[in-house]
Amino acid sequence: MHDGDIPPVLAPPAALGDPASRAHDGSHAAALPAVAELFRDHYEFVWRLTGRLGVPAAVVDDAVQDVFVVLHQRRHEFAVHGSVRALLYGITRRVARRYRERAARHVELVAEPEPAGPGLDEELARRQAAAVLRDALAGIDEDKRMAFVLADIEGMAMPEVAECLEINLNTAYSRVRVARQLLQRAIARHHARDSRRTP
Amino acid sequence: MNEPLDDELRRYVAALREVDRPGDGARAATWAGIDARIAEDLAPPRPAWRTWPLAALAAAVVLGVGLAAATAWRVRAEANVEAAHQRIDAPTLRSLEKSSRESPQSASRGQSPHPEPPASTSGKPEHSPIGAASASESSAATTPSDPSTAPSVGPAGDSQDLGASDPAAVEKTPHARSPSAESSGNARPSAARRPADSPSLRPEEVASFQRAQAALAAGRYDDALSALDAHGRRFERGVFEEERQVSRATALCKLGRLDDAADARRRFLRERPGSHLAERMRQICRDDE
Repeated sequence: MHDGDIPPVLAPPAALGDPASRAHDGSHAAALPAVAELFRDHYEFVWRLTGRLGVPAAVVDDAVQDVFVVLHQRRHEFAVHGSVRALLYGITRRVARRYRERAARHVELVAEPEPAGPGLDEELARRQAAAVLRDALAGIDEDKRMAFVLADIEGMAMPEVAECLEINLNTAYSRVRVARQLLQRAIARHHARDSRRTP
Repeated sequence: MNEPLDDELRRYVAALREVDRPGDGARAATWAGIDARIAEDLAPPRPAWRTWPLAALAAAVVLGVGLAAATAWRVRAEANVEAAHQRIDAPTLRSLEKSSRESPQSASRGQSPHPEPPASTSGKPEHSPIGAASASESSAATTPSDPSTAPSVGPAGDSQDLGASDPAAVEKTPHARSPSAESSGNARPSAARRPADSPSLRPEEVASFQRAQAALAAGRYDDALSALDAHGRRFERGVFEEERQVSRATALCKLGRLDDAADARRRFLRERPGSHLAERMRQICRDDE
């Protein structure tokens, strides 16, 4: 929770609990939290997903805005039968697709590591490792990539991953397993190239 | 059930989690954008008339209408002032003009042996001069806010016009100097502007013209011509000037002085081509010529 991160002036009454911004009151559906609450709890999740789903880095923030605005505008249509993150994932995936289509080319999920200052070898190594994994993720198809992202990066339980991806549980397990194998190979290739560069 | 990540892949995943984090600035900016867009959705649709271009247009229209109204009022006021001056110059003439338009027979009444006063435009021919004066005074006193008369013309113009438009008052002006009228005039200084006392409605002028008309109607053309000439000399630029010229041309025609009549006719038509008596003047002596 990041209650203190959102200035009160930025949280309109409607977004902070206005009944209209709540989810519909279906008998089998839980009430959708207010947009402000969803933003507090899931902003980083949506932000990361947006990048993983191929949205250009320059417009990731715009895409995140769109996700929460869509959530607000169509809150009456959304039912939270299970995971809120599954709902957010579905919205984010559709928004990301739109942004990808707008882009002239697919965004490179791997950004160039920013130069670290002297004495920051550890930070540099972390950024390089992150860049390697981004590059490896970008090299596999979206189904497996997102299964790995949700399960191993976001730490979701497999049933929730399956719900997000709208696949059965076994398929989710399979995708995660295959994604791991592909990523391990990609990392191994990276090490091989790196060892060839450095005598 | 998936097996746990191997150590190397876990290390990469941990590095990615550490690096891929949005900054606090990005977080606040993103929320600000969301908040603004939600506020737009929550705001009630602004009525079209509240948008500033339409408001400016409406203001311009109101201003334009106001200016047009002010201009129209000013023009009307100036026209009233001008009309008031014209009434002062020839109120009786205007009265005769009005009566001749309303009643074609009124044109021939001037030549009748006993000319009847034209039909009253006010519909109250039985008004006594005092009554007429009182009516004019009361009208002037009670209708100062009438935009067609009061603001620019004033009570004097109104009273003159009313008096001139009342033929009964014109005909009975000799009686207007009754003691009651005199006392009324003494009691109220403004009564000096009553129609009966107006220079343009001098009773002697009316009487003089009536005598000439009576002689003309009686066939005493020499007397009529003499009376008309005397009237013209005495009341130069009087209110009956046009009527006098028409009557004089008629007398000349009847006396057989066709050239003089033609000269009088041409001069009248040249000097007063727009006169309401122009057509009547054109018909004079036509048969004789």
